[in-house]
Amino acid sequence: MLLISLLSYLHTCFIRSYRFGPPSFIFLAGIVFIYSVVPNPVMESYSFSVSFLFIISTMLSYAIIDNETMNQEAISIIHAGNIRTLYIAKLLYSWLFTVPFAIFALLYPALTYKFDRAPSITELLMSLLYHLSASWLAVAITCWFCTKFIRSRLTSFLLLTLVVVVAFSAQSINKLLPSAIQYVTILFPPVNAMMDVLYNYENHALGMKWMPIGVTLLYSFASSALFLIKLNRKKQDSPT
Amino acid sequence: MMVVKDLSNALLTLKHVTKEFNDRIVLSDISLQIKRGDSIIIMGSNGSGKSTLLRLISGLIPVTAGERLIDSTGIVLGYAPDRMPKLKMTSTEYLTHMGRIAHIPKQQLQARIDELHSLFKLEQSTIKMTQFSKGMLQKVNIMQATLNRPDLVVLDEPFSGLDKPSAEHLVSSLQAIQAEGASIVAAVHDPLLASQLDSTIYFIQQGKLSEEPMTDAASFDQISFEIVCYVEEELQEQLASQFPEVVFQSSDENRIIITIQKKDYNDFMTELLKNGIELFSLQRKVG
Repeated sequence: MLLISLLSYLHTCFIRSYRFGPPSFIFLAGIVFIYSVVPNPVMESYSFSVSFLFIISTMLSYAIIDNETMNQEAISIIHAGNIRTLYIAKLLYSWLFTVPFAIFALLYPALTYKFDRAPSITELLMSLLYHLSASWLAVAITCWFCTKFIRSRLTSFLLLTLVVVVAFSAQSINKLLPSAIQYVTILFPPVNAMMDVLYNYENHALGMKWMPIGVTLLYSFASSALFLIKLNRKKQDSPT
Repeated sequence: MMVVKDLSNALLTLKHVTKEFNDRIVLSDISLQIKRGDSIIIMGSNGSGKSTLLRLISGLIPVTAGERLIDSTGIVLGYAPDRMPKLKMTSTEYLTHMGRIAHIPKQQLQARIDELHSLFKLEQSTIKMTQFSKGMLQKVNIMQATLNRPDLVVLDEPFSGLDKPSAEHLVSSLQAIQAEGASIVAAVHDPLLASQLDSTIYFIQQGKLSEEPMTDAASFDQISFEIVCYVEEELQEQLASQFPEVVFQSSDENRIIITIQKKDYNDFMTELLKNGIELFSLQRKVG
């Protein structure tokens, strides 16, 4: 009940801030534009929309997480009882906001015959899971770039952009690194693995098709849990 | 920060609390006990750590050392920050959201919102808070802090920006809230308003909390002067570099509000008069 009240409040604030406008427009217009040329291969196209949704979800959650002013956030924390509950609601709301975009990215090309063949139900369900995992991954990463941890919005935006670029370049970076330290790339957000499996969907066994979803959810859960633990210790203390 | 349950009859106790930001000690060895029905006023100059203390009491920031203990049965806390943000919703919408988050049952919440609007003489209208005056926003701020009939209300500069009638009305509203059984802890800048609240007054100076009024030497540091005048931008820049501790604020009709500490007063006034500046007002302030 508390979460629903918080979600309703966050939704009112975010919708009335109009900060959702630019990322939403870019995503919807981008998807329509990409599918303006037909026909398209099914899973390869979904591979693109998964990565596009990942980027847009970082932009949306970046806007949502710091939508409240410091003073209003203090009031919300007092009424919610603690900072952890408020931020669980913020993370959840950020993800829920991306769900309609995931559904749009999935159904728009399928229902408007933009593919070279009709996608199967299994493919649609699998692609939906990939989209939803990608947007949750974006939320779980973006939360670390809120003003609680990095006060300067410019610095946090540039660092977040860098993390997104690194996430997409994980395979290339892995090849460039000396073999002794190649293991560090497992710490990178697993976007690349998702794109790779979707791009070569037919060539992978069933287990391999599920693996990126599992890895992404595990990575996202670990990232957001660590964030909430750190935030709960820090409370409203801010860096200078 | 670990919240420890207190077995004494105090609502909230701070025991030898220290707060540091980046190795700078803001509050040092603060001990304070807040009992049911208490009214405590915290006074101190700008930057003395009043807001930090209130945020510590509210549990919004962790203590660096020491303990924050709360009543073993748990307490309902209300907090009003120094400035209420201008949100794109009406006061009723805002209070409804805050009340739901605070688990107040629906019917009880609507009745409480009506009661608070009438207590604070604020009309429930369709006007959004973005169009509210500072006084109206401050009323909503205190209304949200008292929405859940808290045991303890923490108020950061509740009279900030209010004109005299609004401030007087707020004093009587706070007295009414106190009569309902709530304890109040407030940071107040104006000693006159502080005295009207019939409270225990504490002073913060150099990070220490003291019940004693400041010594003459200490209060000398707390005297400041506020000048309202018109100063050309060029001269303002020159004065700002010459007197780095003097604060310049823009006001209406191109007027500037200048706040000067006692030690800079003579030299600054000489400099102003030498440049032929005409004053609109000059006010001596304590605290």
